[in-house]
Amino acid sequence: METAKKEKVRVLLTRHVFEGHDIGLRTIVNRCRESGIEVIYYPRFKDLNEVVKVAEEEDVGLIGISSSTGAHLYLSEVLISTLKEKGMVMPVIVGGIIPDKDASRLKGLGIAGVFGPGSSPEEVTSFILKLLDGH
Amino acid sequence: MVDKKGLNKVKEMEEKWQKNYTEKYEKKLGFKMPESHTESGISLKPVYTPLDISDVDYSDIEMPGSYPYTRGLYPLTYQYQPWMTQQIHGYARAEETRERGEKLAKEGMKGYKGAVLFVVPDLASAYGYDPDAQEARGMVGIGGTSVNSEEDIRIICDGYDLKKTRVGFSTKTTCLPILAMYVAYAERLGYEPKDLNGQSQNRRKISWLGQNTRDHPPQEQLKLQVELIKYCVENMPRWNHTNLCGYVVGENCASPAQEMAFMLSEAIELIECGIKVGLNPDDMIPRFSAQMHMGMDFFEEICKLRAFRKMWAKTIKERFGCEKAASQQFRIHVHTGGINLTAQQPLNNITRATLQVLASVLGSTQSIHTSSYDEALSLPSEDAAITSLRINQIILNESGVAKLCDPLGGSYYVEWLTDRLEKEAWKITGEIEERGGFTRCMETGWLWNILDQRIMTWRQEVDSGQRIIVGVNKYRQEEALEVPEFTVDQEVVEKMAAQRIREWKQSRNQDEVKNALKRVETAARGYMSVDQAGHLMPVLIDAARARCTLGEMVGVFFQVYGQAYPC
Repeated sequence: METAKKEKVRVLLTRHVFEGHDIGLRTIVNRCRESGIEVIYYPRFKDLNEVVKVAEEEDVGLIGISSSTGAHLYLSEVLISTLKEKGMVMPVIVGGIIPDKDASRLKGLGIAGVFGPGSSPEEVTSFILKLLDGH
Repeated sequence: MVDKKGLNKVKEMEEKWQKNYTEKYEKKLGFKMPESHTESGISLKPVYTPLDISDVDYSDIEMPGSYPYTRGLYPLTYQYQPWMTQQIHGYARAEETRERGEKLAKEGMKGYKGAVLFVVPDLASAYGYDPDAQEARGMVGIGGTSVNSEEDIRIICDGYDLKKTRVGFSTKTTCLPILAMYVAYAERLGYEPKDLNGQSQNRRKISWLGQNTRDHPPQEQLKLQVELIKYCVENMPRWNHTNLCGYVVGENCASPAQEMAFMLSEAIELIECGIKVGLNPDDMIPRFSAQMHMGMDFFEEICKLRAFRKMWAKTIKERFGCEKAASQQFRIHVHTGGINLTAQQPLNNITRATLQVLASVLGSTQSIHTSSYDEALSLPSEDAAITSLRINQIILNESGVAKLCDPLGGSYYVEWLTDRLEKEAWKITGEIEERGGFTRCMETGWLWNILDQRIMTWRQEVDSGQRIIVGVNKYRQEEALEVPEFTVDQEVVEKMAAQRIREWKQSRNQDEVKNALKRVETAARGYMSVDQAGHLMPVLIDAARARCTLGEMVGVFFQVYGQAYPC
């Protein structure tokens, strides 16, 4: 007998409006969709409050931020604290051009997963599925 | 280029080769030639002969310095003067950027005559926000340098002879205000606009499309481009008003043929607009500059430069009836591919850049920016940026390739591919025109979809291993050499930059600022269609004289023209 259909995994993938690079992010968006993950693609936030608002409205289970210009530490720090202020518990992952030395700092801030230029799209999708869907 | 009798002989030789090939590989070894093609999708044979170019007339190739300039713009290429090494640079504040520029100049970065100051604004400045704006938080001093007021420009340019120095700010949505600030700065030193030498990017549509960021709707962008062109052509005859940018398209995985077609289509539209607003084509056209992409398909990239010069010359002569040589001669600046750089085994990027610089030189470019080996990890460190210069210096001084003009000219393959690539690019150019032209194709999303498809295909090819990238999907190395990653203390830079702009704002006559911005707004509102160009730049320069900041001027534009995203 078939068990009740599980709810679809739903995530927000986003980047700052000044971020001129989005090939990586668009690739991840496509791969997530191919893996059955529902993606809210929002490539133009102006501040982190906006990210949290979209995440709340769209009822996502995870936020993924892409940064290729060196803003990853700032963005992560503010996003984590904004989520806390709102009392929202939600995993955040970060991808893009993230220097190795910053990966541990990001994890220290509470970032669940860090994906650099060496990560394959599959690493990201399987990380999300494992985290949200127990795959 | 070979007579009929000669061609028959070649035919015999080719048939013999075909027989040898079939006997040895197909029959004996059971080897079947895999299908191969260029990045633009042109099918290739393993060898080319005079038969392949029997329909190419030498008058379509000609001597260097003669129409259609396939072999180069001038009778001599690098024998008279080497290509310019123009490295865009910028990080943190104006002070640090100036220091990097001076360092690069000391190590050999140079234009034809004087110094080169090609500066990249940071993320906040690039999109028109001053460092004290709420929106600029976390975005100051990274990706480029904070440049928002005449004071920042002064720090970068102070002491340089502005008549001899080539100055350019790598701007997108902020082209007009930054030019206005530069003109106002130069004026205070006693220069007139006609003295100034350098360039505006003025290619916002391509940047908007390729970087998926905020600007005005495409028609409004076009109007602002034409405004800048009109001002420069009428007042700044030494200034390159528009940088036709294939680079950004190439960074979005466009093929060489697509890049050529995009560049030419945008140019055609801008020239037509320029004519509409009363500009003499022979005043306007010689002041287009270019930033072409340089990818990894070595021969096709060489042929791209050769074929594009030809397409340009033909368009300018046949379509616009311009006979002036400077109009027909397309001057090329190459930017080596960022997309080809890998974070894995970063030193391999030196090899990639070397091939790209060599291809640019074999394609007779005028100028090169060489990407640095660490750019998949961070902004270039000083060491990496100097290594980029050294690549050029080694090719120029040690390899011997600069002794000849167009050394590959006459190669059966290169001439055949130059011809084929030109045809391919004309086809796409024609399609864009049929669909209503460049701006229209941006509005409909047609251009976006082409690039999107290429990006997805590229990724699939990398994932499947069909496209090999050393260190990424082949020859991976777990314990690879690490290179130092260049970082900026963003928080500190942001604080200092914000403090500086606040002081700048306090130092002004506030009434003057308010009135000047009001006049900008009025002029912007009154600019309803392209044919009304010519009233906005003068009031922007007045605003710059009144010490308005970049953020203030750009803010007015967004109020008036609204905002749009390509996707």
